[in-house]
Amino acid sequence: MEKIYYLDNASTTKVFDNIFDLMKAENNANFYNPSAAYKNSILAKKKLDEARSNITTLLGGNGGKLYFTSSATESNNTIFNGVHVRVGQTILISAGEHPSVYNSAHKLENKGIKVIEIPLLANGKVDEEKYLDFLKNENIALISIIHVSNETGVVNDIKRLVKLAKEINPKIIFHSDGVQAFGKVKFSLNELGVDLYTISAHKLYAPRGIAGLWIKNGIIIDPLLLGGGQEGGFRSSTENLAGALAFYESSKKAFYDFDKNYEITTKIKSELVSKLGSIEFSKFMIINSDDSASPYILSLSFDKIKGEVLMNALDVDGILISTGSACSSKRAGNKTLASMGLTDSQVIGSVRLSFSPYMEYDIDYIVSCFEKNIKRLYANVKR
Amino acid sequence: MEKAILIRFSEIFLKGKNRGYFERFLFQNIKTALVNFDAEVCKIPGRYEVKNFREEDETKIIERLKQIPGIFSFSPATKIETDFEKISEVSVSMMRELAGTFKVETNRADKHTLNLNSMQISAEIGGRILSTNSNLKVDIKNPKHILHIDIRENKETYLYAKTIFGVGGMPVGTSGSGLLLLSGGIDSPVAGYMMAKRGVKLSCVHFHSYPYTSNMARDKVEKLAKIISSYTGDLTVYMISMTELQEQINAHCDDSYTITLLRRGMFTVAEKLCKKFGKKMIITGESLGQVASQTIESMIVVSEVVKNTPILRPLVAFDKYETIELAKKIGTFETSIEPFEDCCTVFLPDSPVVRPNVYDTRREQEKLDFDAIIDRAMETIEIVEIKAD
Repeated sequence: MEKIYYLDNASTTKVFDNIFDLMKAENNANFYNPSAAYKNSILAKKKLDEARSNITTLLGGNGGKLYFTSSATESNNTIFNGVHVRVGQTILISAGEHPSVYNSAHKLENKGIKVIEIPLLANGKVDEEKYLDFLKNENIALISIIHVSNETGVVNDIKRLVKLAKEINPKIIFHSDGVQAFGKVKFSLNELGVDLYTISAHKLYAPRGIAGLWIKNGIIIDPLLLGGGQEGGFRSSTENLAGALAFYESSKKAFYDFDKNYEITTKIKSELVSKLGSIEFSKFMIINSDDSASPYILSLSFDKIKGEVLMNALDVDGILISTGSACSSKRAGNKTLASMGLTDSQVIGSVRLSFSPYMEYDIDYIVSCFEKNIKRLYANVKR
Repeated sequence: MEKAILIRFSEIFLKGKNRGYFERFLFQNIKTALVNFDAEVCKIPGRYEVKNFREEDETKIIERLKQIPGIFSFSPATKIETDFEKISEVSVSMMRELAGTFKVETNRADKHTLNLNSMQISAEIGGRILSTNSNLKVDIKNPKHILHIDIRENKETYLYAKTIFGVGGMPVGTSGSGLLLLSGGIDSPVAGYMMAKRGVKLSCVHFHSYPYTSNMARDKVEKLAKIISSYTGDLTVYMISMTELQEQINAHCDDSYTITLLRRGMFTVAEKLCKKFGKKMIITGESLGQVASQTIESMIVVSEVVKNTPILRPLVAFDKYETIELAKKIGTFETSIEPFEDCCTVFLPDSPVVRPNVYDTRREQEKLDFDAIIDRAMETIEIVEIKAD
């Protein structure tokens, strides 16, 4: 196979060489345990806290503290395991949450906590009318709404949703999963007004194994991991200094390149949408990511064919995408798309393309491969 | 004192003048299976012995021996110098943890070193065991444990109390080589195991319909082949794409004949592969009446395309639960139930024909340029070599 076009950057990204170089250098100079007491360790701890404070500044979150974790999944699990909610209280999540929020929220139902999913509108955003109904009629302790959908790229108006909630009950804790937002859409945590926010490094060209949970001052979440009391007792585990420094370095680059990247990905996405819109069978194509969505993610559905089969077929052509849903009926479908009102057949026929501004894409080649394979699959739809 | 494992043959003793042929295969198969251990395998009259291995490898070697067709049973043994006091000491310590009934059985090839006969040795050692372990009592007729004292001519004595049963059957390779149709489901790996147990050297063919089936489905088949290889030794998987045939059937033929025609395609390819790679038989996991494609009428119609190669169906009379039990025992079940589509579920008809007849099937097949499609399917072959651990 000749060239590979990687269109799955929302899943993970290729680590920059300079990030590995930085980690290697840090490992040589500062491999010491940041929680030990000798002077080299104290220097390591200082560097860790610098990375923490620098990322917090990028988040616009000086009203809270960023804790390093191993993954966004860990951050989200920590919240639902450690939040103080009582029987009789309700947790609101959107119907478009990442499984790490969805599954850990629903697990609380075993403890007698009510968990309600706010449906999505056809455009992929949270249905505000329903949201307000729940706010008025339920005794809500915690709300979790994804900032940028990992499935569709749709951006929720978190600032407004927080405001609506806090107006009704200022004690409500508001969390947003910002994994697909940090470094890719503009925001400041202080302005959004959230209490908890999740971010991850490996979506920004840093390695897996380092992520963060930002907690506003005064909000109490119990730790998930107990042990040596690192991260101020909130997250025990020997600190991943090289990872934290890599996280800051990659975040810094994302912010430095922000406008340029936004422009590049917007161009890639709009060119793809417009060219795919004129291929044969495009009348069967549904675009699940509206114009206001993140330019980094494009979700498409092709009614009656299977997204997984299209993904397999494009793989042969060197085009790597992900499916919106597994085609085997034994596995769960895509609840984000289903909540937007797509039929089962459309959900099964969905694919997700996610872009990197640092990669070259031959749009004409990609579109021609889509056309060729879609044509073939429509010709072979079971009669 | 030294650890050893004594191996007994299965049906080989039935083989009269051909016995040497079977023994050579088994000997080689055991050596190959244990190649990753620093162990010595040698022939002793009537059996084999594994020795000079690291003590920490013993459990792994035992697990490996349980998977080699042709081995009836084996016993982990302790080898010591033929000296009565030493025999007594080791015997007592071997039996110390046991409870229930027991007896001691002595065999002497060397009748000179000890001045006691077999009966006397058994009685004396049995007495010493009894006096140190109050949880044991003697039962000559139906004991729970038997301590074997095997006194050999070179002043070596083997002591063993445990007999582990092997797969049985015949050494792989002694019944020729066959081609297993390996789908990824529960049945076909079991069918492969059954034929390996009868001495067949296996290769597999897997039919996929990429892109309609996934890379994960293919990976699953390789995982299954890997498990089967622990019984058969290294094996080859031929991957063949049936995509074109399926698309053509979907486009041109009666929906209810989809599976019948697809299976005729598979069997045609299978026979061609047998010719090309010198396999003597086609092996399938079919069980009579299990699904629409496994009724006797379906078998007749599908077998029609195979001209000169026997089709062996070792599971033909198995109930599904019997197959599942065996799949669990040989370790393929957990992998088989991973939920990936195989090519038979792509373009699945709403109502497949249960009792197809040859004439209707031929008529449907004639709507296609069948031979050319099969030739092109043969060209999609990918050969994957699976190494046994």
